[in-house]
Amino acid sequence: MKSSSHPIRRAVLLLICGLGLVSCKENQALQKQLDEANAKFQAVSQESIDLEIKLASSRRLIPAYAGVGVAGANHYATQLATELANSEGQLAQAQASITAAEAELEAARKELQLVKSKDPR
Amino acid sequence: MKNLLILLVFAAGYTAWYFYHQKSEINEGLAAAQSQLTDLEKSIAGKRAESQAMAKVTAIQGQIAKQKSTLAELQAKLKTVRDTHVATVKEKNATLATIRQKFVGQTMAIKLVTGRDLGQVRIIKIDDTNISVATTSGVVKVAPHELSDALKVQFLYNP
Repeated sequence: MKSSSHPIRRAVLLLICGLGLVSCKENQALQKQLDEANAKFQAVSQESIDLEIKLASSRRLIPAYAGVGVAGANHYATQLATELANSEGQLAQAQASITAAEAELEAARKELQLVKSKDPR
Repeated sequence: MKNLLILLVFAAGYTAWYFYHQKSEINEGLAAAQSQLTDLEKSIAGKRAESQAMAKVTAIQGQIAKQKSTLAELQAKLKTVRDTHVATVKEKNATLATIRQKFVGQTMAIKLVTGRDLGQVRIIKIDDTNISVATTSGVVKVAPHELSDALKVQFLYNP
């Protein structure tokens, strides 16, 4: 009786330990997933808070007529892009005017030198 | 021996219940965390889009400010060039007037391109538009285009 009970006891003991170890590992893996999910949640929450702070100051840049939120910002960005294009046109025009004015000035200086050279004194 | 076996079975049962309970709690927590994360991701997507649009607005505003500054510089430069041009033209006209003034009082023979010979005349006034000369028959105004090429050059009408 004594000799037959030992193997059963050992087997049960081993089985309990084995199952316990497997369950423990599985739970550890799940706990790791939970910790990762919580960390990600914290990171996204922090990002949300940071974005909200940033947006609170940025929203003042958008005029009321443009609207609110993403649509308002996009609408205003489109309007600014048009203004930028106009500004680029003005720059090109001013540059062309300067080139023409410099050419006129150069011609006037040449004429002046020519007139001065003809002064009989 | 029998008691020990019962104790082991009890311990095994307790351990199994403990791990099962722990697993259930972790699974519930995981499901709740994932659900919250999904909701938060949905909520933050709008903010991210708005933030990107705001960044675009800020960038364009910066470009516009830079261009306005450049435009102001160019306009100032244009004004300087135009002012210099006006001053140069004034100086040229003043120089022309000074040179022409030296002919006033001089007597010379003038024959117009039309063939009219004014004979010996005395120049009494000369400016950009006319030359007034005194002839034997009176004062005659001569337009620059009526002068011969030599006289035009002499009086600086085509410098």
